[in-house]
Amino acid sequence: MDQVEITFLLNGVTQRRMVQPNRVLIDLLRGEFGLLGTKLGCDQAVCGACTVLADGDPVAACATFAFEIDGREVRTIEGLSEDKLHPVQQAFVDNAAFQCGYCTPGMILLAAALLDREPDPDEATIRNWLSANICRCTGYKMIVEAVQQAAAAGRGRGRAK
Amino acid sequence: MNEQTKLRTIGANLPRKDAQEKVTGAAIFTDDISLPGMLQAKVLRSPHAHARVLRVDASKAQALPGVVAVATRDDFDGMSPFYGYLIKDQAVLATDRVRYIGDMVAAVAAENDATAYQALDLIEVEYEPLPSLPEIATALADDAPELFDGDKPFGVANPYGTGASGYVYPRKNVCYQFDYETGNADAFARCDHVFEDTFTFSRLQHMHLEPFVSVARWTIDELEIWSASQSPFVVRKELARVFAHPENKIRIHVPYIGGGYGAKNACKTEPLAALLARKARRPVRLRFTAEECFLTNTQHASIHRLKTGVMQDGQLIARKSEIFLNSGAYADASPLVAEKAGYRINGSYRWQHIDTKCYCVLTTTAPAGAFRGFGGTQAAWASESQIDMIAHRLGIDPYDIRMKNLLNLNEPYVPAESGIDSDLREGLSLVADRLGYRNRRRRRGRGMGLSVVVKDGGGANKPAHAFVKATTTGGVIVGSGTTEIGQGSTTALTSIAAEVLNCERDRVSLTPVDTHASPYDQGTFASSGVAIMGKAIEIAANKVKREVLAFAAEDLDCDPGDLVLQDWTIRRGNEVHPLAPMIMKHFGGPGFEFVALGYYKLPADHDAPLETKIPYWENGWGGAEVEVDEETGQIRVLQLIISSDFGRAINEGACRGQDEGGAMMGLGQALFETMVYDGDTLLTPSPLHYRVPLASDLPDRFQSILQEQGRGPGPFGTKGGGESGILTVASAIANAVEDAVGVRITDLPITPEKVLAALDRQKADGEA
Amino acid sequence: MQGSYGNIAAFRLHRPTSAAEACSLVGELGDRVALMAGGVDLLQDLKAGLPIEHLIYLKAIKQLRRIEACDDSVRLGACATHHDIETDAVVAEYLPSVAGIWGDVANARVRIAGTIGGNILAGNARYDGLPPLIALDATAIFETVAGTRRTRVDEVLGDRNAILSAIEVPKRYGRYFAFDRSLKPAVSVAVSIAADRGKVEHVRAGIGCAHASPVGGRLPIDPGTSLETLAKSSVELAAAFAQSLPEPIEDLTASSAYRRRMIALQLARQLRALCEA
Repeated sequence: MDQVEITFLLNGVTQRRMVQPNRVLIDLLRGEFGLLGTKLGCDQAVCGACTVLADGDPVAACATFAFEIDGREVRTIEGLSEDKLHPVQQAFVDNAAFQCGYCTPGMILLAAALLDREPDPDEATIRNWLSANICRCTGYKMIVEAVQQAAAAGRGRGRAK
Repeated sequence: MNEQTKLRTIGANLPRKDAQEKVTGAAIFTDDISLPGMLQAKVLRSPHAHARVLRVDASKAQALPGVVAVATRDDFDGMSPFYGYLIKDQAVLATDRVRYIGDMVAAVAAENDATAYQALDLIEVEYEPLPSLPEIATALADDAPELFDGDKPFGVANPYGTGASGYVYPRKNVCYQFDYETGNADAFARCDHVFEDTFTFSRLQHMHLEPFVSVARWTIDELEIWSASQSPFVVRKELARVFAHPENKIRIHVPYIGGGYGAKNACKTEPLAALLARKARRPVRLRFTAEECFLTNTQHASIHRLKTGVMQDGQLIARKSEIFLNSGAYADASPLVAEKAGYRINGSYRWQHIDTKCYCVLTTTAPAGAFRGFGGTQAAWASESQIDMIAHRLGIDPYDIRMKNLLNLNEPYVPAESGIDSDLREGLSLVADRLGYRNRRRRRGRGMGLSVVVKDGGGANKPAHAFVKATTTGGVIVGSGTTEIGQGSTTALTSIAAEVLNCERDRVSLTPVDTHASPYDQGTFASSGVAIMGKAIEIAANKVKREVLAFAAEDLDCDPGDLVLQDWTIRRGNEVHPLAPMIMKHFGGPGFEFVALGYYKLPADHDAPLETKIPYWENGWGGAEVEVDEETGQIRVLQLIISSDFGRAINEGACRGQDEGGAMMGLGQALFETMVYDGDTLLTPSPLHYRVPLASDLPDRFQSILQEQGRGPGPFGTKGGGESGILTVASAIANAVEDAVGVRITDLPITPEKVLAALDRQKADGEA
Repeated sequence: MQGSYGNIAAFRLHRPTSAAEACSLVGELGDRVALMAGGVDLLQDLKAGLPIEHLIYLKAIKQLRRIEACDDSVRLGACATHHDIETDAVVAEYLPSVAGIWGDVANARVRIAGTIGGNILAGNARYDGLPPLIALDATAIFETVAGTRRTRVDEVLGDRNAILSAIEVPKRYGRYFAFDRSLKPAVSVAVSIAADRGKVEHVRAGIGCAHASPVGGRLPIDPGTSLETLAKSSVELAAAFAQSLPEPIEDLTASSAYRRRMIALQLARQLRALCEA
C-alpha cells in the first residue's frame, strides 16, 4: 500500500509525515504524536469524545482519515491553551462542567468551535450545538452554563485560538 | 435546614480537584496505558442465544502470522475458571455451553487489531443450538429448558437478619430469591381497598464512554493489571482464585475511570486479559468495543406485581410484592440487586405489613448487574407510580397521600432498621413549591407529578481503610481504594483530610489506586465514598493530628489541649511555631512523616434485616410538569425539578453534577432510552442504534435543589448522593402524564404511541 | 459486528480532481472500490471489515461541492456538506426555508463532515436528506462514462459505475417548505407547496422512517386552489395521501398503524402552518 505524504499544522506547529492511506486521525494523534488527550469512545463517530478541530471545525478523529487533514490546521485539547486556560476550559473548571472527564476534551473543543463561529449564542443554539456530543455524567445543564460563561468572558476579546 | 458552622474546605466550593487534568486532556485513563510489546486482544463471541459448544479449534488462528496467543476452554489447566459475585457461574471463556448472543467463546492476542479480527475468523466452533429463553415468561414456563442444569455453580446466599431471607437457585432458571416480610398478612383483611397493579421496567445500558478495558502482564512472578475497575480488590481476590495465584502477587492499578455507573464492578475484562497475557508472555490490552459493552453488563429489566391494601382515607396498610428481575444469562450482581429491589419496594412509607418476594430470572440475554439505583430505580418506578394511582382512585391529592404516609424523621425504615435521617416532608414541600404544584391552575393536557424515593445508602457491612500521611513540610498524602469514576471522590476525600488537618486542599494529594499500596476497599459502589470511606479518612486524619499535637506538646512542654494545628504550624495562644523546624530538630535533616491508618465500618447487627443497620438514607425527591399532545401522544417536559439531601455538601458543583446527571439518565429511561431485544437479537446493539439523552433533550426548565439537612453520618454531617438523582424521574413523569390527560402508563419507556393508544382507549371508554 | 478503526482494510488512495476523472477510475478499478465523500457511512462499513482495495476520494473535487443557481433550480453539488447548504448564499436566496431546516439535520459534527450525496446514497430510512428532497421534487444527476443521467431523487440507479454529481432542487418549492422530525424514529414528514400569488400549483410530501426507504410524491390538488382552501381541506388531503402510501413498517419503535396515522397528522398540521404563514 503506497503511503501518502501529508503536511499539516498540529497545534500551531507544521508537521510532515508519510502515512498509510487507511490510517485514522485519532491513531495518528495518539500513536504518532503521543497526544493522549483525544479520547477514543464509541469508535462509531456517535459520542464525539474524539472530537478535534480541523480548520476550526469539530470533527470525529475516529472517523477521519489522516490523509484528509493534509493542508489543514488541526487542534487538539493540548493545543487549546498555552500559559493559561482557554475561556472554555476555565469555564468548565469554574462550573464543574465535567465528572469522569472522558467526554471533556471533545466537549470543550466542540464548545470552542461554537464560540469561534458565534461569540454570543443563545441557549437554544448552545443546546443544539452541544447535542453533537454525548456526556453520560453531567446531564448537560452545567456544560451549557459553562459555555454561557465562556461566551460572556470572551465578549469583546479576539479569537483565542 | 440546620445552622451549620462555616468550615474551611467543606462547602467552600473550590474547583474540583481533578479539574486541571481533565480540562487539559492530561488525565490518564486505562486506554492511555501502553507497555512495550503490548498486544491487542479480540474476542470471539457466540452467535447463538443458547447452545452446547461441541468443538473449539483455534489452531488455524494460532498459526496466523502476527497472532501471538489464542485462548479457549482448553487453556484452563490449573485454573478455577468460574467467577461471579455471590454465584460463580461465569467462565473466563465458555466451557460446555453458551448462554446468550455475545457470550465469550475464544480470544486472540495479536500484534494489531486487524490481525486479531482475521484470526477470529479462523477459529472454528461447532455449536448445537438449544432453545433460547428470551424473556422472563419463557424462562419460567413449565417446559423451559434449564440454563444451568446438573450441578449448579457454586453460590452462597448472604446472611440476613429480621424478616429477610435469601436463596440460591430456588427454582428453575431463578438464580437467586430475596424475601422480606414483616407484620401479618391479615392486615389485608382490615383494608378498605386492595389494589393490584403490575408495572414493567425497561433495560438500560450504562454506555460509559470509556469501554471495559484492561492491560495485563505477567512478570517473573507477578500478575500486573491496569484496569478501569470500580472494585480492584474484589477483582484481585477473584483472579487469585481463578489462577491459583497468591493475592500478594497480583497487582491492580486503576487510573481515572471514564464512567462506570456500576458496570465496572467485579471481573469484566481482567480474567481473559490475564489469561492471554500469560499465554503470550507479553502485555495484552483487552478493550471491548462499544458493541461488546452492550453485551457485557446492563441494568435489570423487571416486572413488579404490587398488591397494596389501603384505608379509605389514604392510609397505607399492607403491600405484597412479587418482583421478577431479568438477570440475563449470568448472575453477576443480580443477587445483590434482588436484595435491594425487594427491600426498597416499600418506598418511603410506613406499613403494617410487607410481604416481598424478588426473583432473579435467568434469560438468554446479556447479563444484568449493578446499575446506578441498583434495584431502587425499579422499585421507585413501581411504588411511586402506584401511590399516585391509589390517590386518584381514592380522590385524594397525590401530594397529600404522600404527606400522610411518609416515614417520619428518625422513624425506622422497617422494624430493626435504622431511622430515616432526612425530613421527607420538608423535601417534598420544597420540590412541590419549586414546581408550582400547589394551587396551580388545572387544565387538560398539562399536568404535574411528584415522587419521593428513599434508598438505603452506604452499603451494608462495608468496611473502609484509609491512611493519611503528613510530610515534614506539611504535604498530606491520603491513601484510599476508592476509584474516581467522575463522582468527585478525589475532591471529597482530599477535602475531608484538608478540613481535619486545617490546611489548604491543595496541600493534599491522593495516592493512585494500587492494590499493593492502597488500603483495602470493597469497591466504589453503594454511594459509600463520602459516608464510609470519608469516615475512615477522617479517623486517620484525626489520628495524625493527635500525633502531631502530642509531638509538638512534648517539644513545647505543654498540654496538647493548649495547641491548635493550622497550616502546618502550631498555634499556642498568640505564638506561632512552624512544624518543619521542630520536626527536623527532632529527627534530623531528612525529616519525618506522620502516618496513621483509619478504619471504619458500622457494626454488624444480626437483628437488622440486612445484617447491619443501614448507615444513611439516600433520599430523592422529584417533580415534573408535562404537556401532552393528545393527537400524537408526545410528551414535552416543561419542568423537571429534582432534589437530594446530601447531608452537607463538600462541593456543590460535584453534588449538583451527580444529581443532574442521574436525573437525565432517568429522563432518558422515562421517555425513550431502552435496550430492545427482539427475541434473541439485540436491536439496539451499540451507540449508533441506542438513543441516549443529549443536550437537546434538556427539559425547558431543569433544576436541582441541593438540600443540606445536616444529618449525615459522614464527616461533618455528610452523606452520599450519587444515585438519588435517577430514582424519582420516571414515576414523576408518569404521574404528570396521568395528571395531564388521565391515562396511566405502567411500562417504560413512555412513548408517544403508548400514550396515544391509552388516550384512544379512554375516548372509547368514555363513549361506551 | 462493529469492528474498530484498526480493522480498516489497506487500500490504495485515489484523489481525482474532476467528476469525469472519478468516473473513469470507477470503471477501471474493478469491484473492490469505495467512493468516499464525507465518509460518515463508509467509515462504519470499513471498520466492520468491508474488504476494499481502492478508495476514490471525492470530497475535495471542487466541481462536486459547488452550489449554484440555475434558471429554475438550485444545483447542490453532491459533495456539498449539510453545513455548506445551511450557510450558502444561493440557498438562502432561492430556498430560504430549506437553509433554515438544513441547519438542524443530524448534529453539528455530521453537518460538517457529511455530504448531501452521501446522505441520500446511504439508503438509511432515518436520515434527514431524502424526505425533504422528495418533497422538493429534487432531481439526482449522475455522471457516467457514457454521459449525464437524471433521475428522481428517490429512484435507485442500478449503475455501479455512476457517480452522483449533483442534486437539483426546483426553486418553486423554496418558499413554502417544512420538515417535522419531532416523532423520529417513528416518522419524519417533509412538505412543500409551490404557490404563485396565493394560488397553489403543487403540493408534495416526503416521508422518512416509515418505510424501508423514504417515500413520497405529489398530493392531488387542483392547480389554482387558494392557500386558504388548501388549509381547510388539509386533514382530508393528508389522510388520503397517507392512505395511498405503501404499508408503513412495523417494528419495535412504532407500529404500522401509528406511523400511518402520524403521517396524516403531521402532514395536515404542516400544510395548515404553511398556508397560514
